Amino acid sequence: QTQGRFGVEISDPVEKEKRVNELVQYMLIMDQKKIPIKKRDINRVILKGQNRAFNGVMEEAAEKLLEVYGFKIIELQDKLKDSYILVNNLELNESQKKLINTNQKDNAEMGLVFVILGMIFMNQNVIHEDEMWHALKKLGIFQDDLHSTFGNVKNLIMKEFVRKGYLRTELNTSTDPPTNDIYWGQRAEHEITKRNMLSMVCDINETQPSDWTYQMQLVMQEDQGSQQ
Amino acid sequence: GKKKAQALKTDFLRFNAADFCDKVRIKVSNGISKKENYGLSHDDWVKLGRTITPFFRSTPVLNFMCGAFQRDVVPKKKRTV
Amino acid sequence: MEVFGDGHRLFIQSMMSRGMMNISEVKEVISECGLDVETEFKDKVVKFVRLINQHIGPINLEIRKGLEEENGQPYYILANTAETSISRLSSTYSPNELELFKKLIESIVENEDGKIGSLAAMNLTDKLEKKIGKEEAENFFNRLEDDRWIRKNTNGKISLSVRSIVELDQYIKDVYPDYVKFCSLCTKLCLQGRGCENCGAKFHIRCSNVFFNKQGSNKTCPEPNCRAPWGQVVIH
Ligand SMILES: [Zn+2]
Ligand SMILES: [Zn+2]
Repeated sequence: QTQGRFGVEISDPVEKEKRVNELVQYMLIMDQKKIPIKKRDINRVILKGQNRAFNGVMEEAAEKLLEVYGFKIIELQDKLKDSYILVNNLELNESQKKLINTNQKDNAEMGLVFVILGMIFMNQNVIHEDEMWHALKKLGIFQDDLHSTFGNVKNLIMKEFVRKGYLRTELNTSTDPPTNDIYWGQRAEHEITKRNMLSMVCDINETQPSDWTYQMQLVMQEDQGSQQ
Repeated sequence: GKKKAQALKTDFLRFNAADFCDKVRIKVSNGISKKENYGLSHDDWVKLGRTITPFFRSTPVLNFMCGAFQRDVVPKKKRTV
Repeated sequence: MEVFGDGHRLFIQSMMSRGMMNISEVKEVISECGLDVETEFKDKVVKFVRLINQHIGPINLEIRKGLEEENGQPYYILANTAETSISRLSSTYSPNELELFKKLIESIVENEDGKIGSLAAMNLTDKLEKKIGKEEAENFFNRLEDDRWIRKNTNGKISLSVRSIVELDQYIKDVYPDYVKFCSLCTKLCLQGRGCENCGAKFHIRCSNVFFNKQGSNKTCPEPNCRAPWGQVVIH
């Protein structure tokens, strides 16, 4: 009976086309905040209760986003199920990448995202919150202080980066008081390859990727996964 | 599987997060920021971001003004030239 | 016939990230898309942009061409063309910041010279229902300049950039019909420009320069019904 429930199309093609275009526009606007876009909100704002048409409209919107803008819609999993993010699908060379500019605020924040993701990856995919804050002191970041560039940096890392899907936290109750373990979030998994992460980290600490056996294994696994 | 696990044990490089951040600071600030508490300047963070962002598959975002806000009804006035 | 491909997608993405591009930036992007820009560039750009517009039109986007009022430089702008309940979900700026921007447009449009001093701009915060701190307002004005909605000239005066003028063209005409003036030469909206003392007509600096150059030494007002001797009076 699920066939009937999820397979309903909007019968009027003009009406469907309108919803598809609205959804494309909605996805681009919601992507401004980089917070995963919820299926519930799409149903409410775009389909206005015609929830059963979701799959059909979403499929066509995804095609347009890919065809016209080079953006791929990714459906998230686990706790973020029923929400979506956009990632860039264009394969660009170095000089082409330079044609896409980002503003200062976003650049600075991505710098911080990179440092944290790098630490997590190199630390065998997880870092304890305390260890992260201890390390970030070397970069002038203190968890309880306002930062001249990032403002409330504790909120930025533990709330904003988590909301955007760059980080995922898990409360570790084996410590007293309980502290957070920090992992790569699902957006990070889709936006950056482990190979690129490893080579950027190696560029900074002046080592070779092959020096890092565990991380290289993960890179190989990822390569095999993407070939399938 | 087992061989890989053994290779892991013989791995002589240990990652240290604090050392890594120290190296980030030195690399990005070209060694100018010597005292660790100084950290990175605003421009350094932007520079770091600019260097690494191309490796991320992030999407550029749409930014517009027309249609971002509601129109007000402005009381009609005659221009006094 | 030209086929829509990765080059067009790259152009759209580059446009999204910058908002506007001058001709040499357009050239750079298009040549990165694999097009030979050395021959018949104008023709190629027109076709390239037309094809993109066919694809982005359905979601109310359009790449438009416009001239910067102050220096007459041409730019391509990615403009949102419709005001809908979905477009109002945009969150680049907070609702209160957008209110401040509206007040900024209002005072620029109402000023004869199309500019407003930085102090006067800061004082606009007093007109807001929900208050914005001075520092916050200053950061916002900097962001507006960074995002190329406004320009600050060397005297610190703020004017609307070509990006604002092109995208908000209809908005400004609709909301401020009693204040807007149109350039008598190109018939487009004119905020900054020269005015005729005799008839009050307004002209873009670039448009009038072109006109006067053709006229030679006996300069008269470009307005056909006026033709008063031009006294080199500049309204700003
Ligand atoms: Zn004109
Ligand atoms: Zn005249």
